[in-house]
Amino acid sequence: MLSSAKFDFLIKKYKNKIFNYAVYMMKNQMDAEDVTQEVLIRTWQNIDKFNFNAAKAWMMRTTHNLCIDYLRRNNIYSKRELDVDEDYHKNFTDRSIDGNPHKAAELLITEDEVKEAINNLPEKLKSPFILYELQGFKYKEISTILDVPLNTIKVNILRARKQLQKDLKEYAKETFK
Amino acid sequence: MQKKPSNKIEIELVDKIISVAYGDASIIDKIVVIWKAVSDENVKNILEEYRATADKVRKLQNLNLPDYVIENVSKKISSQKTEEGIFAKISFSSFTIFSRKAIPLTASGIIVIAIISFLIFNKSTPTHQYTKAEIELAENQLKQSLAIVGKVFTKAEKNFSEDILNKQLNKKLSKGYYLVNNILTGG
Repeated sequence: MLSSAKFDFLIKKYKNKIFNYAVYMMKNQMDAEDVTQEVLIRTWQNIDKFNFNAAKAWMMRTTHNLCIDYLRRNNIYSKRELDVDEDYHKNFTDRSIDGNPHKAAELLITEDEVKEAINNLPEKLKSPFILYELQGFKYKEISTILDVPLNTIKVNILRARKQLQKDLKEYAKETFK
Repeated sequence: MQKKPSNKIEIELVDKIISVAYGDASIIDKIVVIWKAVSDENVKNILEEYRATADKVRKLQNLNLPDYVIENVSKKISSQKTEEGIFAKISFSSFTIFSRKAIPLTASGIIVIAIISFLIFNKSTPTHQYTKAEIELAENQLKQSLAIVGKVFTKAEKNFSEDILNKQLNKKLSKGYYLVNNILTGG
């Protein structure tokens, strides 16, 4: 009896977080809907097995695992190398448009391009970045969800920020050509 | 003494700039970066560009899960999902309220304070310990009181038997007998 109310509460609270994470991971809404549906069904099936306070982490971990499984099964798991260019900031001003990088980034980059740039991040960087920047999870929670050490999470978020900046810069340059 | 490579310092500074731009740097890092940005145009540009991106990321709209997905899920699990009564809903509401970390802590705090307050303010009345002398004195006083009451009762009994029964009542009875006797004998 209590399970049903517990399930309704969890769905109401986390359905959009699950769905948005899946959209970024799967890169399309249809697959994200399938993953979300599967996560919700699994949540119902395991509702009495997990601790209520750990439900959030459990649901997000299930979402993450299902996304990775789906991408691997369909052979579309990104093989992009972790090619974060640490020297990217050298000659930074030379590469900016009209010598004003702030304006260049703010005016030229659209929301869709930001989303695309996030989507194109390597999976190792994308997951912690989405969970931290877009879903508002804490480092420790992300560490639990992804089963990765806390320091690795911090490093990967930093690298994701750098990679995103580099990619958005490329978009801006393409637009100006 | 070996000199630290300048590139390494630059990378550390860039990491700090990024954290400041995304708003999760420590206060010390913020001060360091802002101070550097004032004097160094390159630092200022990097900071501004990362800030612009961070703003864009923060402003990204979240999508809402379409209702039909929930409907599909409900259909699939409907056979297992039983209709629940008001009691289950109420107990779940209390469960969700008390499952939050702060609330049990506050509740336990209030209970502990209540118990301590009860112990402090509700002290039981102290029981007086009497000395042996006081007990003896009380016994003597009790004996004296009983003796006085005994004397009063003895005197009252004496008056009743001697004055009332013997003298006054006998007189009345004798008079009564005399009158009855006279009536019966026709005198």
